[in-house]
Amino acid sequence: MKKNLYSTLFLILCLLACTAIVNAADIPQITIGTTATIEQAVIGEYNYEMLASGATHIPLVRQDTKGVFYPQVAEWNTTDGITWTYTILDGMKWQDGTDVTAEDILFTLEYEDANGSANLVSQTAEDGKVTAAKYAGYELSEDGRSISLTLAAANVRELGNMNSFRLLPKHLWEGKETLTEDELRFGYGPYAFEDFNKDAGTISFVPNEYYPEPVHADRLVYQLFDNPDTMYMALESGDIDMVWIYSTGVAADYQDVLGASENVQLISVDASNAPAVLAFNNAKGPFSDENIRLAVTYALDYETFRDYVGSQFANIPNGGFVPAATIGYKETEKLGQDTEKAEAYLAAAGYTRNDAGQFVNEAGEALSFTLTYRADRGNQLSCAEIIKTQLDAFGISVELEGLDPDSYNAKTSNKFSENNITMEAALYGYTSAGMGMGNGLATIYVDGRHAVQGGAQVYDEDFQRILGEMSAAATLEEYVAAAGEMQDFYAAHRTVIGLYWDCLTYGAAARFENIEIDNAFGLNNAMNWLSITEK
Amino acid sequence: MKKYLNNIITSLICFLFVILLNFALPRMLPGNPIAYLSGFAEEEMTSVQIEYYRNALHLDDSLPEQFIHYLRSLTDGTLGYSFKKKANVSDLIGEKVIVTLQITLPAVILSTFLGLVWGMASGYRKDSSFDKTSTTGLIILNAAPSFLLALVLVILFGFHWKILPYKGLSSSSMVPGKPGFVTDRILHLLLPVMTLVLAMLPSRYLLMRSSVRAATNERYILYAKQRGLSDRKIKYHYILRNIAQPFISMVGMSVSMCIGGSLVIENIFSINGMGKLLSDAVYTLDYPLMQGILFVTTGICVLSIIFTDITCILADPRVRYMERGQEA
Repeated sequence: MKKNLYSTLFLILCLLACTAIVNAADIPQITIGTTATIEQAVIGEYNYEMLASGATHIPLVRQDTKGVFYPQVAEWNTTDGITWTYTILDGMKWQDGTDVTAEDILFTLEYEDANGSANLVSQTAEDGKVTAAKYAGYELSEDGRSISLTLAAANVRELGNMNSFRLLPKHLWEGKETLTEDELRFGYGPYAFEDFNKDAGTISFVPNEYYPEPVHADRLVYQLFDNPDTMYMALESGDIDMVWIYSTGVAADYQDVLGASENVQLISVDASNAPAVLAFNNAKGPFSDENIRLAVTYALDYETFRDYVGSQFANIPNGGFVPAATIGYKETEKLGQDTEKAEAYLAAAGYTRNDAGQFVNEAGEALSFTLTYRADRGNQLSCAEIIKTQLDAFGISVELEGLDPDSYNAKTSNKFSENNITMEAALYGYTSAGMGMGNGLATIYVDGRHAVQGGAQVYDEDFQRILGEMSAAATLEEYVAAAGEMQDFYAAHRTVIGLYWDCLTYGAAARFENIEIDNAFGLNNAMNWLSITEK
Repeated sequence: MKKYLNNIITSLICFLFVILLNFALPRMLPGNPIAYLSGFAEEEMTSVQIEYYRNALHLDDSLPEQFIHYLRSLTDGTLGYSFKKKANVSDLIGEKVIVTLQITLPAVILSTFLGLVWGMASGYRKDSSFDKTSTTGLIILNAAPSFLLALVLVILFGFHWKILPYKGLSSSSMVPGKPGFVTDRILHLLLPVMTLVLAMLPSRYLLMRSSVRAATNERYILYAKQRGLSDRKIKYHYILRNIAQPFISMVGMSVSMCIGGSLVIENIFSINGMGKLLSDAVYTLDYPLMQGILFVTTGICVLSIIFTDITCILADPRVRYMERGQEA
């Protein structure tokens, strides 16, 4: 009997040991190469914050590559797009075991306000300019797990702001004048900070024992590279396991080489940015005439931009401008070359082809314009040369104007030109974040009234009406309907066009599977560390 | 001696000119000097910030007073303040220069020694197959840019044979004091140092070789040979002393490179040194930092020129004899 008891106990112990082995992380270390420059590994340093968003300071919600949101630290609820209630998920704890609470959300908002943000209180600058508070009020639940935040104006896309919202520890930071480096990187994500070795250029993280789910790697090491060539060679040779650069994928130049390597897998996802945009000045100059805008867009051959400037995953954009990964995307006419249409639109604008093949008006003046672009951006330079070559051959004369960033901004944005945008047409690169700002769909770049951007100088009444509808939408359905209208407007009036759409391509070691990509942070996301496995 | 005194005076005047230029340029450029002296774009600053920087930079004082403040920042050792990096310029430079010296100093010493010995051997055995092979090889090496050399070494030693580390100054698990730290550091330094040596060696070799070739035609070498002196004695006791001047000058000029670092090498090997600090300062328009780096590198350059001139006097017997002749 006693012998049986010992045997049974022995079996139980073996089973427990096996369970422990199964639950333990099965990947000893994942090394992530990045070209981010980090001098201090603390919250407050932008590049470190982006990096920590995948390890110690994960955002409140996450968004997958299809645009679907999921709870990550808190779940949400709203009925009107104005009041959003966030409830902290069960088991979320800071790395010292203290519960994460809704008060941490409130503390973070207040802390940001104390440092110049306008979350709960409006901010007045010295010059008298007032930035209105984003939220009209808040309410904490009795159990401290939920907070209801009431927006000053409805925003059905509010979760898009929460997928980069990181919490600060109220129990550790409150009432302190100065904070130590350890306090400044104290987190609640699946990993906790371990070490920043400046000589080695590595930042390492170990699992946070209080995180509710087990991670699949015992250690995360971010290897800081100054040189992308070395980084991609390290990926190819297996010295690092993946590469990550915030909001950017693997550069097109490296994709062919990495794609041919059996050690590397490339993962391509639709991007919601516009890497090359031809924006017209809709208010002044030749492009205030819609016929000329339409003529130019029909005179260009978009396959050339796709093939020579974009990556192997690039494709031809629609007239509706925003790519398919955008919330509210609508299928519109695909851009394409049609020189007959282009000639017809020019004829409507009063231009005919002369004997030299140039389009001239009744006074004999040739149709020409200046194309402004950033000289330090390789893809803009390439696009500018292609536009000039194609339009010169078609009969429209193009003068190229490559500028340094400051001079470029002074001609292409409301803020830096002091509301005197002088470009006739310009090349831009719109970021995913910029495309989603304001009412989304890149409207901040198009709307001539926008205080900072507004490069396309559109003051059209229809545009403003649709913008109003997007802003007033209380449900996602209403927003999608208005967004569709906006894309129809873009397609019909060609205020701005994309020259090519591209994908974001991520590179990881071929030995991994079950890789999760986050819409904002790419491979560097908590879900990835919970799902990734070795083949 | 007069020639060297003139050189020293010219160097000091150049240094003073750099100090003046450093002070005057931000104040002479079009636009608000606050932007240049703080490193922030004017349009990005609030009126409170502009006022703060105006006071901090003493821009309301007269120009002579501002110059005194500037000189004071040089003499008190801070070299100004980087508002972008929120640190004294001297602290930033001090931290990075130690990193850079670990690569540049061994590289300068090694390339100088190799260039001297190799160039001496080739020049002395002029037109031999050793001379021809060495010279052809090093002329080809001289044509290769340093970034290419670095990448080739990284590919061969780092990725193909996997025998040397190609990134940073140490392994992530290594901290000072830990067993194996020194070995690990030396291993990490090998590739960047090797790259710099290969980049600097050809010019030293070619200078040495051509000087020795010319010297071997001199009669004093013929007499030395006739006296039955060993080749080693002739090379290092007779030729070297007579041809040392240009070589010492060339090595002296490398000292500023030791301090300024090599942007390309630091970038490829991801070493956070002076080259990176300077490129950061340029890209972020951190003018105080740029001015500080310019001041330090110019100062070191001037000192090395003075030191080189003195060394030339000590090393070259002709200069010494000339001096004695002039004094007599």
